[in-house]
Amino acid sequence: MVSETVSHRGHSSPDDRRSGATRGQLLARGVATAGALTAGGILVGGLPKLAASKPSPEQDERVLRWLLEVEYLQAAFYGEAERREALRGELREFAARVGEHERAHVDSLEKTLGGNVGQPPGFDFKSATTDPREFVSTAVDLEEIAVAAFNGQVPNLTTRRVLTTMKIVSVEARHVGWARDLAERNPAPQPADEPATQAQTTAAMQNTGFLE
Amino acid sequence: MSDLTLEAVDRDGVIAETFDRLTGGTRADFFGKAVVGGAALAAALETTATAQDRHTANDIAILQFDLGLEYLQAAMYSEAERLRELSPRTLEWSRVVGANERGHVKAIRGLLGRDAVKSASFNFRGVTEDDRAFTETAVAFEDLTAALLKTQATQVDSRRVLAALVSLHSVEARHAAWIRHIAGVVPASDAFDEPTSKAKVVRLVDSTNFVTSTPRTKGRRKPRFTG
Repeated sequence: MVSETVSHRGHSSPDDRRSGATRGQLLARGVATAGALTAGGILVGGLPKLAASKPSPEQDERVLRWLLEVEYLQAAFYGEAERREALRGELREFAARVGEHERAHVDSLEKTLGGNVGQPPGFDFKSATTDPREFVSTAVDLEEIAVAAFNGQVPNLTTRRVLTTMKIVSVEARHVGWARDLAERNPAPQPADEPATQAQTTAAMQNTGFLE
Repeated sequence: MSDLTLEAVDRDGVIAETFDRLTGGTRADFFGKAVVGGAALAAALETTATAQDRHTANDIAILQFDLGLEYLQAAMYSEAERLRELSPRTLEWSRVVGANERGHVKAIRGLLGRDAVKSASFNFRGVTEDDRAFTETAVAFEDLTAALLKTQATQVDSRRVLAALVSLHSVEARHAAWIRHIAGVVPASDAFDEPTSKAKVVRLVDSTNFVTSTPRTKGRRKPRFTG
């Protein structure tokens, strides 16, 4: 078993360790609190409800609409980081480049859905878009959430949309690899990436505390 | 269950169980017992003897090709780890990624069952001792493997096999970003990663001359790498 922390950069600070939850832990925490959530938030209220069934164009639409919610969260996070201009060096570059990607993902999914989309929800990122340590730790969390969410849905889609989503999740996985290296955490701690269900992703997103 | 899940793909939980074996049971720690059944899908690492009975000839061919590619990567990174000639960051990459690729070999062999092919023999021609050559080769392998898996994901017949390829695919993309970061190349250069063809991957592997003999074509001077 590969250790979670990459050792070559020396010791991580106590803050690093505190924020260094793995995706699994993040999701587990989300799952633990999922039962207590109300359906008041826009993300929760707007969720599609369906059983995993054979791929169909109708199911594609529901799944893509749901994955768009994940992209909204990411695009808003990096967009705010850029606007507030507090980050320096490679973190600044990361926010700019990754933000551009997430906006492109939002545009692409909205276009695929034919403009048949709701309003993006509101977010409050607090100091996570200005504090370097918080920023990178949050980036890891949000990118892990996205990878797991997409991976969980790809097999539910028709062939055409399998490709659409894999072209995106591949880039999300690159983002998480990059972010984890910046955070001095093992970029690829497991041989296989575990998919998340819609409920796990919803809980993990709620758990960030960023949804208004 | 009104949730979007993959339970239909992993009804018997075999995939989840095998993932546990591979990762030392961390999966249960991650999700807790209550949700293991619902989360369901992981590395798709089934090892049951009847596994291959469910695969179509098309899926078997795809998995066999991937197995060949994983053997190559696992061998190269494992050799680098043994020789310890690379810089500390690259060596750390080869240690972690080598373990992942060995995990992929095990996973795909498990999926293929009796249809699993043997590994070719390799000669890495000094690349595993040269930091620059190693990182450049690794970037090419990881980028192209992730790209190939996208093409294959649209070609497989079974959703089980698709789910397996998906769970490996994002790990290859992580590897690609990480080695690019080490090499000083932008880890994620575009908003969308495009697919690539098997032919292009075959050309890359051929160009390295790493494959010295395949189990079925011993003695050919420059055997074509087919997995």
